[in-house]
Amino acid sequence: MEVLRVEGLVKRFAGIVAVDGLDLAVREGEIRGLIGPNGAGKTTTFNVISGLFAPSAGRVVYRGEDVSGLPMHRIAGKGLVRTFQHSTLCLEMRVFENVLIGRHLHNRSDPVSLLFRRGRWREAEDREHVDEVLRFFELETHRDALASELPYGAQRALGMAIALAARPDTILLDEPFTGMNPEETRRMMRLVEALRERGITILLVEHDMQAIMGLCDRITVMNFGRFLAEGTPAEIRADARVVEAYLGSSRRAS
Amino acid sequence: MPETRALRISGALALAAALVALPHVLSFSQQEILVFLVINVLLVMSYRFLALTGEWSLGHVVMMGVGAYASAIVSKRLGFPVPLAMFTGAAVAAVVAWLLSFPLFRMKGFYFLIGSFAAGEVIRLLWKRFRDPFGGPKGLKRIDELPDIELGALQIDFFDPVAYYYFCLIVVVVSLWFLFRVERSRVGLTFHAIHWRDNLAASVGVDTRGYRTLALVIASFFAGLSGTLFAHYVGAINPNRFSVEEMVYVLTWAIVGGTATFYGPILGVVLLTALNEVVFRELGLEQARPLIYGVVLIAFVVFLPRGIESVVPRLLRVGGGLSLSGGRRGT
Repeated sequence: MEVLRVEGLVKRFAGIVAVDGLDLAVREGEIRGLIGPNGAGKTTTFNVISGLFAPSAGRVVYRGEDVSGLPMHRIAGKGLVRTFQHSTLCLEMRVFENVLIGRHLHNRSDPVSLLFRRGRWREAEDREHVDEVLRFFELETHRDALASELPYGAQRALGMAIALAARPDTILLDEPFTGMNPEETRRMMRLVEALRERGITILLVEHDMQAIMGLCDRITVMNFGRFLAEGTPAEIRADARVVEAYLGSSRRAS
Repeated sequence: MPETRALRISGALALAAALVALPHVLSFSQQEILVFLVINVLLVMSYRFLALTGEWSLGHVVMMGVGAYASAIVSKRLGFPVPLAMFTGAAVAAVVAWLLSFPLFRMKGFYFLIGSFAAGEVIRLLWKRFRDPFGGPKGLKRIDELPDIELGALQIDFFDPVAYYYFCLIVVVVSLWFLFRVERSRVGLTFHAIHWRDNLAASVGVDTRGYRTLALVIASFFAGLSGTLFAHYVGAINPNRFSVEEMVYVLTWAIVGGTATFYGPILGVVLLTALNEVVFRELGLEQARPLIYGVVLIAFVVFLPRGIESVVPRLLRVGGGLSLSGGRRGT
């Protein structure tokens, strides 16, 4: 079944067309890669789907509902949650507090208990869920550390932990492997795989070809803001247009 | 940790006793200063509450003024009893802040700062322009004071600064308790998240603009409340009392004390008021107050940007390790 559909998506910035009529359909439970050379419009596509930018034209349909142009927090409320490039965390806060932020939609304490019951909101259900998420990402030993003290790979995992705490049914991962060493990459691949096993649909933008070929069920390739190709990793690897987009035109080169 | 708890309780009791005894060791004029100090504590603490979301406003003293004007007008014109007028004044400040949030929260950071300044000046110009009901440049005079209380042998005249000090103390302590509880709740965590990474907060479903508005409205309510405490004690207010010069004092208190902890701004306002009233008054330098505050502000920004609160943990560790930590750590 189709979870997310992008129809004729266009995003312009002051004269530059970053995304130019992209169509994309993501099926439930798959790991879908979105790749393309630098400047192909992948991150812009992400930003439009997640609600950071409104589209200039076209539609984003999530579970049959038109969500184009909704603010990010409303889209998150529908179960579509994104992560960010680099370490977008509250570095000054503790690891478990970061995960608690992700619990925002699922912990609405009433004003009275907020004022009178000492620290109640942090207890029981929240604690359980936070600890479960931390265990999932193998962060439980860092629970009380400041986010800034974590090694890089663990910071990236914490970014995903915050997203998972929001109990999404689709996660958009924005370059989760960037800047990682091979060991961290292997670990992260295992985590993404485990996320899918929880029934979460995953759309990821990535430059690391090894990771993306090893992980994705299907891959969509963009070039110059347009759809270029789609298929399994093997099909994409064999696609002449994709090779050309990445390595440059052979005609021009010769 | 029963010892820590006992230590905390005895510390709180000692502080309470000191606050109750304090006016009795002061002269009349110092008692008046004490009243203003307590009012200013509420003002700067409400300012810090807004700063939790990362937004710094230059209109906060004007919101204090909105509370003062509204309270004065409903008590004079509509005959509201003073305590009800005070609550009404604070509520009007909250409503005005809510209305202003629509244009202002289209902006963030520096632009919000300038926008809040402009919005504040517009309000001050309205007070100056409309003699009815705001009294024009001369403002409002003969604002009702709190009615005396007579309960048999107990007679309280709120014209007496000691009595008014106790009244303000109760109002301020309850207000600070409220602000503290909200900060320590899930809502406070959300404010911090918006401060540090508003996109991250939004990505997991936080309505960042809604929460910024909530912080502004609550902060303005208590700023307005401090204004009503001021108006009904002094009995006269005018537009210049709520000018940007006063705003700079509030900023200085907050920056000198630091805003990361709950006690930081209180330290700032208490120490600077003591410095101002004890040292400068003795030296006859009161007229130079804006100059001195400017120098102090620059000195702190350069040499101790995180405020006095940032050296407190070190002092306490030396002094035996009593934990006073009120708010969340971080700058």
